[in-house]
Amino acid sequence: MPPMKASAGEVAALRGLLAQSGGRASWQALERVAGSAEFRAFLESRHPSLGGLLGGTGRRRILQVMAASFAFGGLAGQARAQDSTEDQIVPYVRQPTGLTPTVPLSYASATLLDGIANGVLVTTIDGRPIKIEGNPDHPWSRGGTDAFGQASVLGLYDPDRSQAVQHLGGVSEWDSFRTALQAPFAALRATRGKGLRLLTGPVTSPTLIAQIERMKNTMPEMHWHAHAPAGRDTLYAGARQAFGKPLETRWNFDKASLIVSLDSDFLDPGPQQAGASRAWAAARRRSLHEGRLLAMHAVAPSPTLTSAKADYHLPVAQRDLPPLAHALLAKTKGGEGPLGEWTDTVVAALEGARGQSIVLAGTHQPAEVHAAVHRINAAFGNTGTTVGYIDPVVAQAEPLRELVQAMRQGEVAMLVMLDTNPVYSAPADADFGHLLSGVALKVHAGLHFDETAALSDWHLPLSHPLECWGDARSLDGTASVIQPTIQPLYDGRSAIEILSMLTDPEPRAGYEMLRAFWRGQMGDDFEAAWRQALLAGFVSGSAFPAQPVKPAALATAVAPATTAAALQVLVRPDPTIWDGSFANNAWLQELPKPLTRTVWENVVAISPKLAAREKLKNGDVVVVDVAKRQISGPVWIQRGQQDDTITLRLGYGRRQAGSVGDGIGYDAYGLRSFDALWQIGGATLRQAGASASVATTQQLDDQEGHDYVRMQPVGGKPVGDNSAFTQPTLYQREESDGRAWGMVIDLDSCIGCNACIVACQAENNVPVVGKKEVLAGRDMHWLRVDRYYAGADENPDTRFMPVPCMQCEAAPCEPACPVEATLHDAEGLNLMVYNRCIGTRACSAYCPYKVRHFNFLHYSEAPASIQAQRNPNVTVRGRGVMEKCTYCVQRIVAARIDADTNHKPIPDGAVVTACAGACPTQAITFGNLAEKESAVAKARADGRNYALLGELNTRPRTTYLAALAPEERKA
Amino acid sequence: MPSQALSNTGPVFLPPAHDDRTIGAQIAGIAFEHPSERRWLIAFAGCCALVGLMGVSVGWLFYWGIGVWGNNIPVGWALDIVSYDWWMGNACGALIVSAMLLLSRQSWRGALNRAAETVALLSAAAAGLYPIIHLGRPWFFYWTLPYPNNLDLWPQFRSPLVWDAFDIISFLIVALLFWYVGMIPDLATLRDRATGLRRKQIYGVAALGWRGSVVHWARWIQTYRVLALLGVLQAICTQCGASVMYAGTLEPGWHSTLLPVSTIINAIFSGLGMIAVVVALIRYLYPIQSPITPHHLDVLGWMVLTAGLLSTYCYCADFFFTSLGGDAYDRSVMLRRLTGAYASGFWLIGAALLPIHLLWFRSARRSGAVLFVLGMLAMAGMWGDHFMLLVITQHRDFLPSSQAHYSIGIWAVLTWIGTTGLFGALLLLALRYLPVASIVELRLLARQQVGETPRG
Repeated sequence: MPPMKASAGEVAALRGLLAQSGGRASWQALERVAGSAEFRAFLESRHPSLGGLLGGTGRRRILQVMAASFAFGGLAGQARAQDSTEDQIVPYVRQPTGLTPTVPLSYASATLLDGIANGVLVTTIDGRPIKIEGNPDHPWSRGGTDAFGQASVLGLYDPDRSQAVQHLGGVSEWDSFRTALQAPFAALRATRGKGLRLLTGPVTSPTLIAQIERMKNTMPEMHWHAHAPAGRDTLYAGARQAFGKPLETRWNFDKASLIVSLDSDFLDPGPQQAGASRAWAAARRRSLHEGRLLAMHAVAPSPTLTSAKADYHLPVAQRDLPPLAHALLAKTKGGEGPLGEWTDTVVAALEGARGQSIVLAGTHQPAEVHAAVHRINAAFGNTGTTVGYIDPVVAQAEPLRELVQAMRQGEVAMLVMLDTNPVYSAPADADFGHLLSGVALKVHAGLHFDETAALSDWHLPLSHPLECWGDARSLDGTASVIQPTIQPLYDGRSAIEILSMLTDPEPRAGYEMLRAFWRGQMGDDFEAAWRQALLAGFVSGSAFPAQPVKPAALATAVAPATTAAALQVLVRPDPTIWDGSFANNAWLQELPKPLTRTVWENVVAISPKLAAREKLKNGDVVVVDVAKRQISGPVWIQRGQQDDTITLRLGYGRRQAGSVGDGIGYDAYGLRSFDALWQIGGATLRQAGASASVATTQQLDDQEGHDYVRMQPVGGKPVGDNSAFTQPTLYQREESDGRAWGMVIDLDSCIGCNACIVACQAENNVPVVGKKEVLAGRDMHWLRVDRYYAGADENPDTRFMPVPCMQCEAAPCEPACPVEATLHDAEGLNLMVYNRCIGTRACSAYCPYKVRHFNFLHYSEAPASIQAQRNPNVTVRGRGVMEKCTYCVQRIVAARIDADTNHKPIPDGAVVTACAGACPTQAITFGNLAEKESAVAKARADGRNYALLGELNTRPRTTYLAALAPEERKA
Repeated sequence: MPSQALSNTGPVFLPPAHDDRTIGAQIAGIAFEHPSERRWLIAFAGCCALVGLMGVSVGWLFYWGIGVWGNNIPVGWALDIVSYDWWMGNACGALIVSAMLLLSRQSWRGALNRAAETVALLSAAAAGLYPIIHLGRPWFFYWTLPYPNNLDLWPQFRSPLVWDAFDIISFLIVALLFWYVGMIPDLATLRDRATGLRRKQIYGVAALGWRGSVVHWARWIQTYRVLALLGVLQAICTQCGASVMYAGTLEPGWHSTLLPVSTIINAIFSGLGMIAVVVALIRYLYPIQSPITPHHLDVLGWMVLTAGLLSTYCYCADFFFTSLGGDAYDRSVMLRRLTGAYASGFWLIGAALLPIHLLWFRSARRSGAVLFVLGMLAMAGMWGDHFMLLVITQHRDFLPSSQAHYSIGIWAVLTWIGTTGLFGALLLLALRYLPVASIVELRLLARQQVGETPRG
């Protein structure tokens, strides 16, 4: 590993001391270090609160903490790796306990999206976190991950991350910051905190919330605001309307037989995706075993993954959604037209499934729709059975709007902004950047030196969740403990440490504060409970209890539907960049947006009808005007989009995101106002006259008469067949050695979330190529998720199909290679021998699935810190070499070695490919087909099983299970 | 030597004034006196500049990688393999024409065969560059060959690419031998006629001690004919091998038994086109000295027409069988060939195959300019054929999702232009320093025309 920037001189000195102990990272060495002047200075400056302990009885405690932090932070191993490049290489004489070089270690932790946790396991090798895996024990995520979580390892190693404290544009230090803030804070305490405003992102961390509460106790005049540009405020507002207090809705798909979605997004990217989609997919599979379909009816103004997976769907204008919700509530007749029919069908279905249906609304729907949905669920007897309510997991701070109000009135003397970027992401009518200049003292802490940092007096580097202690809650309230998996790469601090620096007499370490908080929560046997929480990654039993609530009756009369003629703009978070906080993550930038399949920018999605009316084609630049604000971006024709709806995506148009994310796309925040965050009416669209090339990874949307994605009507004749494996051949089939690796992908469960693609990229060191190369048709993703449309442009069915290498038994690519760089092994894997490949590209020309990728230029070159993320068990392929999916052969080999040394067969489930492990809906099953009892062999025996292009006699090892369709569509 | 006497009523391929001495003086005169020197110099300088361009393009390619060419996935093979196949097609076609004329004892071929054989050899040389430079890691090109190595690794003999590597190497050897052996008596004539020691020495060494003895003649004619036979077989093998690279796959539009046949026919058509162009150029460069008469052009015209008709038949058969019985993927490839984004490749073929019907007219056949244009069109059309075959099938084969469009990269074009420069420069050197027509066969023809029984 290349040397990284030393975080501070004092750490280097400490490492020196450790090194002098001759490589023996023992208690004795720690004694020596603890006794040194360097360590005292280090402790004094970094953790002053601990200083007092050194002299007295706390000494043993310090040593414990040191040992723990060295082990957790990888200081010992890391230091050695770094120092070795500088002076001399000293191997371990005694192995530190639990650390074997090259053997992966797994830490239970959590990834965060909008502050909300998803329980994961972090795989580290030699002190470097390299991969995120699902945590099957976590009560919320239950082993599922999402693309954001998978990509967070790259975020950790982002070379553009903020690396130092900055003061007025110059590099400064933490000590200077503390000293500079002491006087103002002393003054604030005297005035009970008047003029102090704290602005955070969405917060679920119990420790941080408690800390802020303490802060407010000492300074009651201060205000805490939270700013979540893609947050859940509308959900809470809806619950307030219906129940009088903010609540989260939890769904019990297992008890449901019908789902009705009013532009719901429970399957879409967001903090709920991993948990909700897993529960939904499991319930849908279970209902299939019972011989029925867990049908979903969905309306959406702009297609979402949820509406894409719906069995009955209809595009409906946003302005028609609130009336529709009230019509469902009142069970009124739907009237004429497709929407009327839909309404009648749904009302009848809801009547027939009382207490067994779930009605949901999208996060970004207005509060009145949410309130109506709560009432519908109550009216149909779902509340308490399929639908439950819990307290909100996101802390209810004051909204940004009030902060803006206060800033306008000059009431803000000091603003501390923690992990938020309001200058970029505040609504346009806030004019936050301008207002900020009126604040006397502005402190910003963030992962990047972003737009807000540039306008602040102080910028503090925040540490990444993979390198610091912390906690956060999942959407069911379960508290996860976030463990550091590496020594901080840069000189960052966590949010709780920064607040402690501001408020505590002596700054306290995050670990200490975390333990102190949980000591108060966990009861008597704290150490055991703490250890258990660390091992499991969450605090067991911390999920919020269900709230027995009943919605209040509808007080006000329902406003009739408006019949506005103008275009309506929907503003939605980007499916891969979210609210812009992932803008500098190249994996997520190059991840195709699930529906448009575009990469590296946001597009203006419009309906085919609108495109025809305005004579627009994909890539034509348009200007969208709303209330004197405008943005311009390339048009993308989105099938299934409601005719008069324009969908814009947040997260782009960043000015200071970093070298990856700067200056691409348009900034949809520029159209937002506090009153219209998610839907803006009265828009106009006009051509800008220019045309832009938008990079997409899929040019054709239709199956063109073929049945690549088969549909299985529930209760109908099986659509799968085994014909791909019974065709005659002139060639001899090669015998296997008793193992036959295979994969079955359930197309009904695939929701197109793309987590598998990022997981594959992280696991297999797949390079990012950039927009220009994607435009040239050279994307490198080993696994792609094809998206096909079927049916009319206005309302097509959407099908997702993940396509990895099929690992054909009669692989057409193999006879192509003149140097035998691609060949079969005895377990049926179609191998790539990278160092034998000379790059004729014949194998790709011969491949009917086109799953092979070629390193056309020097794609694998990357900054040193990015290289640190790479999986050491997978070759980094050079220029001029063909590469492709290997079924994660490195994992198979590890299991094989393990089995060989233990003289036992590889148990079923011991090898999980990266894609299968990442999948939140468990759509991918992998294992040994030769073993009759294995999960994959059973899946292959399913009547839905079929091979893609099986008629070519390639005998693919990857097969598919047909997606489910309602019984009446037997066709 | 061919001994068949032409009837007196046949076309006169050599003006009656010619005898052994005038023929020798005329051909050797080109090599010694360099007529049209200004034209030659301008052309040669231009070609050398293109060779320099090729050096730059290949250097750029080696520095950055295949990505500079515009190839992508799925179109992994693009202009590189198109150019390779095209050059090899020209080479094979030209060799087949020359060798077949020799084997069928067409004694008038003397004026054309040197041009044809030179074209064959130099086209193969230009083509030979591609199998190496198109590799992702060209420095390992020798891994495709069976050579003893301590890893005990062999190439994979199932791969058509291995056989293609063998093909081009053996083709180069056969074409070189055929060309050189046929030239030995002529080189001896040059040696005998040369003035100045240096010239005598160089041509003398090149003539390999030819003395014109009866034994020499007997051995020579045997060797020459055996090489002609080998050359025909080798050219057919090479073209079949190249087409099996496609026909052996599952890909729609490639997986076809007709492909080897049409490839050979198209190669002959393209090779004849190239011969026609070079012959027209020789007549332009050396208007007085060249022994090529309108009769030669006339025969060449008939051959181009015949090959073009055969080629037309192949396209019709392909279209007929595909639309009649082929599977859906084949049919959609056929449709894309006619109407898709790269339909220009197909219509380029049309632009070559339609105008050849001018050659039904005697005046057209006997016009150097017409032959030049039609020859150029034939070559362009066959380039379009290779482009169509490769790009249309690859950019969209089975799954609609894997479609990606390919756009030709500027460096790929420059590389191809560079190879034409290489071809042109070597051709111009040959035209200047070597006998542009076969002296020995022209002399034979002269004797046949006056009814004299040739010796040997």
